[in-house]
Amino acid sequence: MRRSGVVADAAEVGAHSHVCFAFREPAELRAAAREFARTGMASGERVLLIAPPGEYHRWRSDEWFAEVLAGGQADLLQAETVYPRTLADPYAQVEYYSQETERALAAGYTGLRVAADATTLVGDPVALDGFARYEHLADVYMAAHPLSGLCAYARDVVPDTDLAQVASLHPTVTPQSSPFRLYAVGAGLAFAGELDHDAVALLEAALDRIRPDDGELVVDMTGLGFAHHGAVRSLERWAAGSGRRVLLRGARPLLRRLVELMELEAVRVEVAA
Amino acid sequence: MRTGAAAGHTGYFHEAALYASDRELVDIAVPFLRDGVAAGEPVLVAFGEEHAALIRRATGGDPGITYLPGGDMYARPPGAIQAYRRMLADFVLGGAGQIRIIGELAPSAFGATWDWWARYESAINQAYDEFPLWSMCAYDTTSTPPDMLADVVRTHPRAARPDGGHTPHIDYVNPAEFLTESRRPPDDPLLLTAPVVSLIDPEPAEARQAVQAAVPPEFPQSDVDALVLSVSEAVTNASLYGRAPVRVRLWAGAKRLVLTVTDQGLGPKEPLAGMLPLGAGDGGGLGLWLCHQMCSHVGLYREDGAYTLRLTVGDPDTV
Repeated sequence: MRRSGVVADAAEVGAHSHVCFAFREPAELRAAAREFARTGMASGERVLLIAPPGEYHRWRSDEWFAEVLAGGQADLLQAETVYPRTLADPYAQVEYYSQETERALAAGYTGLRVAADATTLVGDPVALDGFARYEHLADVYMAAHPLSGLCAYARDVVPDTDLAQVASLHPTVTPQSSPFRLYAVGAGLAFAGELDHDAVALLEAALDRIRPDDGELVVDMTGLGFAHHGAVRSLERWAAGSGRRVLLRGARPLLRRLVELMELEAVRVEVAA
Repeated sequence: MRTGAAAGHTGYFHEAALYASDRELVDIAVPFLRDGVAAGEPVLVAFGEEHAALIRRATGGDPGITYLPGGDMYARPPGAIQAYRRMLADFVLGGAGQIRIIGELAPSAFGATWDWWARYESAINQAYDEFPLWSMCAYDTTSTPPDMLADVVRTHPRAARPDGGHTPHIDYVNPAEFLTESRRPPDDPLLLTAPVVSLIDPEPAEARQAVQAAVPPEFPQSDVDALVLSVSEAVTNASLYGRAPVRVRLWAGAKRLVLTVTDQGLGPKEPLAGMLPLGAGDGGGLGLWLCHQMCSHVGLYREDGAYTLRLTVGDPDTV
């Protein structure tokens, strides 16, 4: 099972594999990137660091970074060399990281770890949509391959509602980013957090951006505390609209009762043993 | 085609069967049932064991009469409405021109939960009106308290008499009027004690946590679940459609948990909210319906410019 959770500070990010890190001060991000990199280096991973605009030289002159960069296991890159200005093709970007992961493995590393500032990539609605789709595709890739990522977003640049849209597609987030997470596990997905009525629009945005394989979609519910009927109805509408069935596995008995009362057709529930 | 007193009537022909003795009940029920069987109509009896046995004897065990098992059918008003609507739809699909049902509420309805059964009796005038249904709801005038009988008269357009006659109730009021009246449930002594939770304007998650933390461990998880869902729905509805401040309080007794959610709004606009699962954009109707489906009693009333939803899980009656 993948690690999932809400991480309060930089010290906790190392244990997680796909983190949405919303920060206020550049120093917070430097600390988180250090921690994230340190964990990867300790387990023999190749590390790529992508600093926010204007921060490249500060990162370079950071004592710890300078030391690891000199060692060759880590690289500090400019965002422009990794990401196109807008992510027109989310699949191509995942392909880029997939190739980098393969290269790292071929070079004898245990995997690839990327800490990247993505603030400038979600600037307008089109960019946000493309990047959110990419975040999910990357998450699916990470769930099955030795790639991990820390995706950083500056809170004073990215509006809360935009941040929530990208954060909700990560297994791990910082507090007050998104009320729920929808992320990849095994061949399916998992929900964590809580789906209250005020999260319904966000849920619909998340569902709109995932592209699961055909057939019944299995969603692990063990990390979800509560689902308002509006969220369940959105899930049913999404499933019916895309002609697929959804199995909510490991749900609490309350959710089964709710789904029974709502007489859903495309969504069924298996209660946790 | 409609037969008997309901001939020529469109939709639901809803009668109270007011009786003062077994003899009177038999005199009302037996011709009603026999005529239905003779006309080839679906004929159903939804009585408790005692009255079911009485009718069986009086009709000589007529195989044309179906006896519905009591129990869960009348556990909660919206559950009864849902089950009956499904059954009636099946009969109509099967070609029935009229369906006859005589039923009675469970004895437990005549206590602390009467107000939601009164709402049920009113709501079904609309909820069953798309079906060619002729039903009689039997009430014992010697044991039903006068205030409850007054509600019966106001929710049944007419009465079936033991002499075979049918009398319109001039005091009948339609559901739109009856269901928008304030109907405060009976005072519960538990509510005179100190609440174990008291919150002002909580987020749903905050209200859930407070409720979960405060419920004594002897209550089953299903009761806790019912309250968790209900408080979430009620607080969400209050913040979407009501007016602040929203006050949430929970009382824990030995046998039941009572939760009230009060806001400064007017409550649901749709009179049948809570009784029927209304669709999307329903002004909170589905949430209220879910509360009604999960709790052992739901009361709703307007008082002093505030709207209160009172939700009970566990035993609503035992003090």
